Amino acid sequence: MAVAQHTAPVPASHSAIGDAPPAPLARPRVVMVATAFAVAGMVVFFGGLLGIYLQQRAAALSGGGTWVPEKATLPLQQPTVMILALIGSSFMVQWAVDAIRRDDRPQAYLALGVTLLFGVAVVNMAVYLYSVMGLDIAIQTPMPMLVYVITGAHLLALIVAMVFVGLMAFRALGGQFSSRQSDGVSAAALFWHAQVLVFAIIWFAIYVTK
Amino acid sequence: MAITETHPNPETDSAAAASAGASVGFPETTGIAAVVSSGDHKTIGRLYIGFSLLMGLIALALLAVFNLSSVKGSTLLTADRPFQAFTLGQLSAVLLFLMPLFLGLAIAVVPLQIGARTVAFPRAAAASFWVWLISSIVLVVSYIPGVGGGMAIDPSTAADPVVGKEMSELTFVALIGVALALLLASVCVVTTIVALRTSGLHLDQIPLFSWSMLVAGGIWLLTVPVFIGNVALILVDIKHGAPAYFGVTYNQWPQLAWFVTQPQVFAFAIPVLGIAGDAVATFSRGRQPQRGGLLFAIGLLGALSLGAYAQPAFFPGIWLQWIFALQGFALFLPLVIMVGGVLLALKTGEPKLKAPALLGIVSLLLLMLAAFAAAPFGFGRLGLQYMPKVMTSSPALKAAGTGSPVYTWGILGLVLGAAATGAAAGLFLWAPKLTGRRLNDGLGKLLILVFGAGTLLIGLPLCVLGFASKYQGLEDSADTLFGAAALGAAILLFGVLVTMILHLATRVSVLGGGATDEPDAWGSGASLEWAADSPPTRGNFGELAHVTSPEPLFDLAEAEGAD
Repeated sequence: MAVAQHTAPVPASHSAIGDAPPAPLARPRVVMVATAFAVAGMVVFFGGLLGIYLQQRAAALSGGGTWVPEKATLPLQQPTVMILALIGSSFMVQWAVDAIRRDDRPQAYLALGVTLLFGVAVVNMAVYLYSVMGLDIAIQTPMPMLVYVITGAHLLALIVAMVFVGLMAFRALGGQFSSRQSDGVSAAALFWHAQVLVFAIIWFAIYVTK
Repeated sequence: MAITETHPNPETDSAAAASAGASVGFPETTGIAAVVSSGDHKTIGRLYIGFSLLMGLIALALLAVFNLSSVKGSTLLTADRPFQAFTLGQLSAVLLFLMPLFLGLAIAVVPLQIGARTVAFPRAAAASFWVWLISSIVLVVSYIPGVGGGMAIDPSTAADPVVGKEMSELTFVALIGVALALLLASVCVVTTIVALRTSGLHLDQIPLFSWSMLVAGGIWLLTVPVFIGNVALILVDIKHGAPAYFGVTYNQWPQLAWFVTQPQVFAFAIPVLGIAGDAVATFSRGRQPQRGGLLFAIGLLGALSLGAYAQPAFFPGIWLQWIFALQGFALFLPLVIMVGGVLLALKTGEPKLKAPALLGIVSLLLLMLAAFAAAPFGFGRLGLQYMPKVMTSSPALKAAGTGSPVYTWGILGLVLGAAATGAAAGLFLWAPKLTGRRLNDGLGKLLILVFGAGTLLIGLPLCVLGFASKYQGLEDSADTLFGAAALGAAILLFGVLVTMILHLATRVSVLGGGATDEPDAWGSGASLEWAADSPPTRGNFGELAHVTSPEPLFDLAEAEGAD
């Protein structure tokens, strides 16, 4: 019985393990854990870029220059609509998680669908925003480059989040998630919340404080 | 595969897959096709290890050639070529050699150490390897001589400036590909450690190598994305910009140099602590005393090596900030703790000094030397952050020294050598799991001299040259110092080559029907990898009982002894 209280690791080739009972199997939360690490990476990616943006802006303004080039503008109206839509989408995706945990599939599908709809609306608004800003990337000041890289990267993150949510929606339709197992939807929601948080910081750092 | 509440059973899964394949007429893949399409963590790990060693040869050759070309009157490389050899050599030392080598070792060994049947997301791990390999090849190819790709000082001097610009874009696309692939592999490794440990094995009980990979993976996930951001700015500016600031040729390297200077460079050597700790623990034939202290030391090195904030290209005074100086000064603390712990294990156990343990100890000492060398860098009065006059003697040296003073090249050399020595320790220690049999121990002991000499020569001369801006008499010795550094790189290259050949020959011998070792090949293993076959079969283990300590095999032996 001593073996049972300690470890009885055995090579696969000798799987006869005497009286050692198999260990209780832990529930792996691999998707959730991996998403959490990926989110950490995404946040520092934007953190690094925003750090450079703020430093360059401070340097330009402290030298008595201007930050936004002539004939260009950084409007607040469209980004504010985008952040409001994204905050709304965060509630939707969390509603999906809650619904799947309650085994309420119709509500889960509805919530995931509305989340994706919010995502499409934000992409649409971002494209419109680019046309309104009138920022020429091919000029010799760093501001347009930084704005396009940061907001473009966020757009990419949003699209990745939409693909993630879409995939999880299909898997939910296939019956893979339920109150006993909702990791996939929870992980997609985590990624979604993270990109909303990132846009909130972008909104404040780029569009509000200008 | 759907997420299940139980561990997969590879034997039944593979049997089911085989029968499913047979029913729809898919032939079972064998040979190279099986390797290429494999999701087995051992195979992916071996591929990573093999190709990263190969890339390591390229990196070390480039560093040797650059140092040789820095000798006055050298005609080895001309025009932009020395600078290109320098930038590719420095970046590939980290991105094509150290990181993938440690990740490969982790993908192969960590699941065995924590009692998992596979790595988390095995297909993602396989994808990360193939993306890394293709991106690495593209990165190297983008530097083809005569075209003017890579990071050039003056792209207008290229044979075809338009093609040169496109090749330069390719360099940065490849860099992003390499970095993303390594991040994906890091996510797989850290997720394995966090989520797939066998029952009862708490996080503070995992072997030191697994712990070090958790710390290293975490730090890489918190810093490599910042590097990707830097590269993305350069790439977009070259491609679509005027360029404004980021894509201007002489600005490119200073924006990326933080990745291979202190404190960040130490992040790529974190796994050395785990390997050395496990190697010594295995051969001390006793339980590791003060294990918590060693876990703390590894975590502390991780925290102290966070360097994404120290970007002098954007924050010019950062190297003179007190926090930077303090961070550099404190880097040796975790190494002192680690060496103390290793010595304690040797003192309390019954040590049997085989090559892996000796290589591990030497790698720790070399890393400690690197940390001591890093300590004074943050003190502005020593002039280590400035460019000595000799560095302005050629455009290539001047461009290379902008953003990364020569002193930091020395620190990179020391860290690179120490990490290569540590990796060799790991390859010797876990050779029974990677190849099926132990490597030649005598050759391993000889490699200690090779790696030791190579590390000292590639690093120390450049550190000495770093003092030349303060003590100008040293400038007269610049040629000798560059020559010595080139010799060091060549010696390290030889060490890596021997290690690679030894591994390959042993693996080929085992695949050809040669003898394999017992599961506990060294006869003194304490952690779970030594309960798996050598080499491990599909699924790694039979059923594992509840683990109750960091040394489950010792528990088992003691329990059997008591019976």
